[in-house]
Amino acid sequence: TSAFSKPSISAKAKNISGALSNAAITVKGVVTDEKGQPLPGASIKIKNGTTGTVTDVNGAFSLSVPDASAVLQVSFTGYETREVTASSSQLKIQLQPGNKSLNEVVVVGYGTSKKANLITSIASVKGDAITERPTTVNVLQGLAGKAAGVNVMTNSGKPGGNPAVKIRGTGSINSSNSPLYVIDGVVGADPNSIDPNIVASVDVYKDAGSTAIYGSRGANGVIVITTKLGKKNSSDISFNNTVSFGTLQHEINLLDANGALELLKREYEYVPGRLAPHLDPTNNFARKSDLFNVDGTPKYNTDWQKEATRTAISHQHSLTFSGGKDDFTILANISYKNNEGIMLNSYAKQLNGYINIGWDVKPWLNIKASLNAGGYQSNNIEGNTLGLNAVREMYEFLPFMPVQYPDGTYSRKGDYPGEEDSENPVRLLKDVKDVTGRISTLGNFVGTFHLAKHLNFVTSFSGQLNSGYENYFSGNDVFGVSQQQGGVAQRTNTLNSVWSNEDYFSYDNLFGKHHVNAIVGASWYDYITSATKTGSENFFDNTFSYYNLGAGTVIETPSSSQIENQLNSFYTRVNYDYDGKYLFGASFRADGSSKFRGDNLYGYFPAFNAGWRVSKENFFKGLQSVISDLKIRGSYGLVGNQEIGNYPTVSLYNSTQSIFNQQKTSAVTLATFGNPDLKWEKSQQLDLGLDVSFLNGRIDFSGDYYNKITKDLIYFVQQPATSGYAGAYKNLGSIRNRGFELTLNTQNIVSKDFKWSSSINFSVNRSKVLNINHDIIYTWGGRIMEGEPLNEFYGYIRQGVWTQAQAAEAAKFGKLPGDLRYADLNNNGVKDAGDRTDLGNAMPKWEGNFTNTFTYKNLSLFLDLEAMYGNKLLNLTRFIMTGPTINVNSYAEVLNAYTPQNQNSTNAQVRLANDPYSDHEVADSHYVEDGSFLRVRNIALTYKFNKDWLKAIKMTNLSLGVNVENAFLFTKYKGYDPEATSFDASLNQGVDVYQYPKPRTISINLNANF
Amino acid sequence: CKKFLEEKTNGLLTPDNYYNNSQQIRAAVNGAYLGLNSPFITTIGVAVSPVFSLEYITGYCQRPRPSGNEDNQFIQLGGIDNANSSLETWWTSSYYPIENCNSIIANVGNSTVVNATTRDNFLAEAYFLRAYYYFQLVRLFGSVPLKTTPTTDLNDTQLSRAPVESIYNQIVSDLTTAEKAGLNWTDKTGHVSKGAIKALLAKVYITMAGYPLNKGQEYYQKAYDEANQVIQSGQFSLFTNYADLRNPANYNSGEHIFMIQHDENTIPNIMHFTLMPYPELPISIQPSYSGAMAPAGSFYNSYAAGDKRVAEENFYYTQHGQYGNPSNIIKLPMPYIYKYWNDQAEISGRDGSNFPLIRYADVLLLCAEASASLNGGTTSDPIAVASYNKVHQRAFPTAAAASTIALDDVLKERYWELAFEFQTWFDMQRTRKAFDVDNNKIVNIIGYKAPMHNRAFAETDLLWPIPLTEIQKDPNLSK
Repeated sequence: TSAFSKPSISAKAKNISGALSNAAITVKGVVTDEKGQPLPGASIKIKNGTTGTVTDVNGAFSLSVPDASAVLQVSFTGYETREVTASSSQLKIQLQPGNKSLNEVVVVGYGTSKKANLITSIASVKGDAITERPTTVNVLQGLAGKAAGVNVMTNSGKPGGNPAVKIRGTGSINSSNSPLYVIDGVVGADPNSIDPNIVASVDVYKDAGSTAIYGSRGANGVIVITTKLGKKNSSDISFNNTVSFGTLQHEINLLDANGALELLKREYEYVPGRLAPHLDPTNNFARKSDLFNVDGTPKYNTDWQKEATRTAISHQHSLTFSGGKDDFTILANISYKNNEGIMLNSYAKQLNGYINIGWDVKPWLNIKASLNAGGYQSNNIEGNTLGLNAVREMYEFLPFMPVQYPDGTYSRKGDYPGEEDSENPVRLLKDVKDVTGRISTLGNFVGTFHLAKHLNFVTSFSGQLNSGYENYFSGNDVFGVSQQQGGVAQRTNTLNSVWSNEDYFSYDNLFGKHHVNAIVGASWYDYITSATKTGSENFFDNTFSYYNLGAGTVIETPSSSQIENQLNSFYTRVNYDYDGKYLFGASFRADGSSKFRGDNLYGYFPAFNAGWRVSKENFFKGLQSVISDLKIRGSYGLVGNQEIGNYPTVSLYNSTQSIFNQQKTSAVTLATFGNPDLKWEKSQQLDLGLDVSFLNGRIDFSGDYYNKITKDLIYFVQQPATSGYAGAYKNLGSIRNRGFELTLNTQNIVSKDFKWSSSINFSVNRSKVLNINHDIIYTWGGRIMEGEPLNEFYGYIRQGVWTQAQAAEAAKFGKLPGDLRYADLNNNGVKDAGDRTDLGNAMPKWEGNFTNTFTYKNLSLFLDLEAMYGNKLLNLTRFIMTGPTINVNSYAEVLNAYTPQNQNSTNAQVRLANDPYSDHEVADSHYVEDGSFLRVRNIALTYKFNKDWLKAIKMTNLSLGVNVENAFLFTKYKGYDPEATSFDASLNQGVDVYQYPKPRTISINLNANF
Repeated sequence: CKKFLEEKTNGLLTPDNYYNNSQQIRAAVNGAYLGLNSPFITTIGVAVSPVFSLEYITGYCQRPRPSGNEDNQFIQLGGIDNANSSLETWWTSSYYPIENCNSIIANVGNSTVVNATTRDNFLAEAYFLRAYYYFQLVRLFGSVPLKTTPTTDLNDTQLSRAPVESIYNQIVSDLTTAEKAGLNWTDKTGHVSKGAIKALLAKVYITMAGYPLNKGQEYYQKAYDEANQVIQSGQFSLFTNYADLRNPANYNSGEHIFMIQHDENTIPNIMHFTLMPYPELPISIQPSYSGAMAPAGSFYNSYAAGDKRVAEENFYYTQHGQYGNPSNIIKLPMPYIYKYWNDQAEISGRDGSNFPLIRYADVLLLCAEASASLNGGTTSDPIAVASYNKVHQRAFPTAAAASTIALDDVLKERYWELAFEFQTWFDMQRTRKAFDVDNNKIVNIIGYKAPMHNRAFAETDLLWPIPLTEIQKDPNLSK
């Protein structure tokens, strides 16, 4: 017989010879794999009991059980768990390689489904995988690389990483592109407020078949987070601790002191005979003797990347108590994270408390209640993106200046004449505070009424209260930031409260081989947010910080606002399957939103899906030894997007101020023209999928093709200024995203001591703007245009620099040798807008993730590789720092710039800003860089202590690990990290300007269970 | 459920709840003034603002801090690309506030929530401002759409260009309507006054008399009459010292007929800081955002010896005390503009000074110019001559009073007196003359190469192209 056949004996069959006895007996047995080879380390537990054991090297075990009716649960990783009655004193238990995943339960909107019966495209990620990388601070970071088609860009190196999540591309121009988050049924909850350690699963809904049940909010996909519950009749204490050490992953190659002075020397020498101030004996600027020796050599050589960063020491702790009795479960968790950023004084801290209970109050009633409350605080040191902030100064500060002079004063760039004046980064990091935080509470109460055997009624109420704040202070002596204002202190407070109510009936019944599952329900959602901002300036002393705004003599105009919106929805879904073989589903949701009016108040979102589990057909039987499961599925549906900001259907006047008699006076201007006919943005999506399982689950493969068209784009249609308005929102235009996703999970080696499993996911997405009213929208260095992909960089091709031999040709373009030479693509003899061309796309051509887990006895090694290919970045930092006229520090490459002796260069001859100017384009092929990369995202080595040893100290599990996050990065990109954007990730992904660098983090991780 | 989904516009003003009382109308009228300052917006470049394009185009002005291609198109007369973003700012800075005026005029026109006098005074301000913005548009772009009613349907926003004459007729109509209301001759708070209305009317008439309408004598006479009424009102006078132009106590009075109103915090003025020397010199608490504009050397040198306007720290300066150490005199590498220097801003880092839009000196010189034009190039009309003398003798206190003046002398006086006040280009357009600074004579603009330009003016340089983005949004504009 086949080695992969079903277990030949069931637990019941083994019970035949069972003799009833009340005396404790000892059972012995041997556990083997499907080939009869002994399985050491398999776990044997008494069902509903507390005792258990593991098999020895010969697969043998011995266990004392209360009586012969005791049921043993025998489990081993990668094999199906079996239950065996202790009916014989010499048990032979053969385990079969498990196809666990097919029996897994996946949360679908308003219900659950067995994975085997799933006919929509849902990527299900277990909680263990979310916390696999121990430095993960939030759920979204943990999701990165775990699901095909889910692009998680960790766009900054600051604590928390500012992840941007896009499911199947960017579908919207003016509405949000962020997925909808649902936590334990609470729609619109904040995923950052949940400790990843209490997450049981994250299910990502990608196709319309799965998202349409969320109607108007599902167009960008839905991410459903389910928290862990206590287990009945058990008790567990779980304690996770991580201490980590982050350092700058790599430095970028900037000029050192001698290099920077060489640059200055050449800039001045653009005009022959002109001397740089430090070389000019007649120029005795104030700090000259502090900075330079008599011979003009520098006294200091400061590496600002070192000075502005540090070894960031962070620690995270999470303590969970869970368990339950017959009719009651509980889980209580407290977590604390204190994450330092590698840039001085940057941090993020979070404290969270969470509790959930489940109670079968009556045979006909179960309740679940949960409460999550916590606080978060961070110091935002990279605010004011294009301003002279600390991160920018780390790149641009002059290396021949000290952090502090011997007299204690901080250096300023302006200490060298002609350089752009600003404080140095160390000073800015120390003396500018921008502390943001929030206090959030999420409560949820769910009652399930068992109305009849197959009919439940579920009603839930949830409330969220989020109080956010931003406190800013910069002192009266911080040049360029707040000195001019005599110090600036500001406090912003926001309060947002949301309540929602969901009520639905669910029905599940089997009529012979006909299985019907249906829900029908309604929901109400109410959102209110208000904000207040106050500030003052001109403080005689810096002691007050932002604690005493009244001490400032100049009061900033305070502001406040309140926004409300409501949703009211009705939904239904019916799933039918015949014998688990032919599967059909349909869902429909009607959403009413206060953002729309009249006939458009309600939007309607249907979806259909179907699947065929080919492997259940008789004709497939012969193949089943190789292909254990095969399913073909497809879905089509319409999903909406209403995340369009507030009040687009109402004309608004803008209340502002004018000055008369040198006093502020009220003024009102026309602001926006409301479009009462506005309706929902809709995305229609076709998904075709294939799920195959080989060799009883040793190899699981899943593939999807999708074609998603977002239409009726809520598009800000530009109006001629003669109308008095910049434009108005209209439903116009469409964008297509299509692509495919592949997921492959394999258990490559399964042997006694050594196991190797791996997981690959791979996705390809192509976008195309189908229609935007023939408008062209210009983004940072790019444009959005019909017929083109989104996020397309658009600009000039740099051909190099005009040489002296080309002087005559250069003159035709008004250029001199040493000036930049751009391709004259339209051959009209002048450089003009017609010379621009596509320079590549910010989104990757493909991306993939490859994780491997190697286990040898108690030791496991985890290796996580991330790759993106074909994604371009606009390195705006390099544009600013390496142009022809530089009055800050620069990349080291700039010393290869054109000189009469080195004419073959790609960098223009350097010069001062008021010298003849070589034009220098932002959208220049020289700065649009290839961001393809391979990252060794994580390497983790974990040792699990032997359970036998742990018993003595009443522990059930103890593991100790060490891991490196962001270990190695292979890329040609010249900035810190190609996974970056400094602006919105929707339309300006890949625009990198003074990126907060990502750390390489080494951490030690200790997990204990009692 | 309908009730549950009712939209709540908390604290937001909507058409349903507006123009219901005097305070609301006052605020709407105040809002219509904000467009006056819109061209002064600073863009992402340092000391870059669309407003300077109006001086760069004259060719008498240099930009010490290079800013790139867009400004160079004006500074060097390189040919102005219709994608140049300055054009868009001038366009929107006119049409957006025009829509505010249209809304006020339509909604307040027959309003009974205020008494007729109050209503007409509000309307007078709106009519004046609409005329001001259209006057700006028609001079910069020529034939442009003429829209005098508010937008009610976004499917109906494709407008065509109106004949230049119909735009001027609307401007005159708006100003004469405004004139009829009971506004005072002056308004110390900075609102529109009868003086401002009449002065603007004088400027409109003299423009209509010249290019492109060439209405000639009749309109020179009208310009003369309006200017004369301003003069005869006795409400305005030249300041004795040029420094008084910068004195906050004098705002909206004396020589200042109409100004853009600023304060230090809410709507600061950009001029003090953007006009400082570049590379920066430590002559103010904040010298970093400097270098927008300085006189071309030959223009500066065209002032006659002894002209007080080039005396140190009147209209220009060549040195200044160090900030915090005034006894250390710092020499500037070349003359810079001092007209907008604000002593308070030097210390506080905030420039709250008003910006002059219509000065009495401008009206006096208009009067003289209109008279000289009426009389074939020279005039001895006592009012005109006295007007010219007032301006000239302030610059040359010891000069003898002229009894006859030539048109070219008046025009030259305008270049010197109104330099860098964003008036010169409009004078050049309407007269089709330029000031040949090297030879100290007024010449035809066509064929004249101004000091900073790379080539001579051509017919096609006199109007700016309609912004590309507007043509894309309204293809009728390219017809």
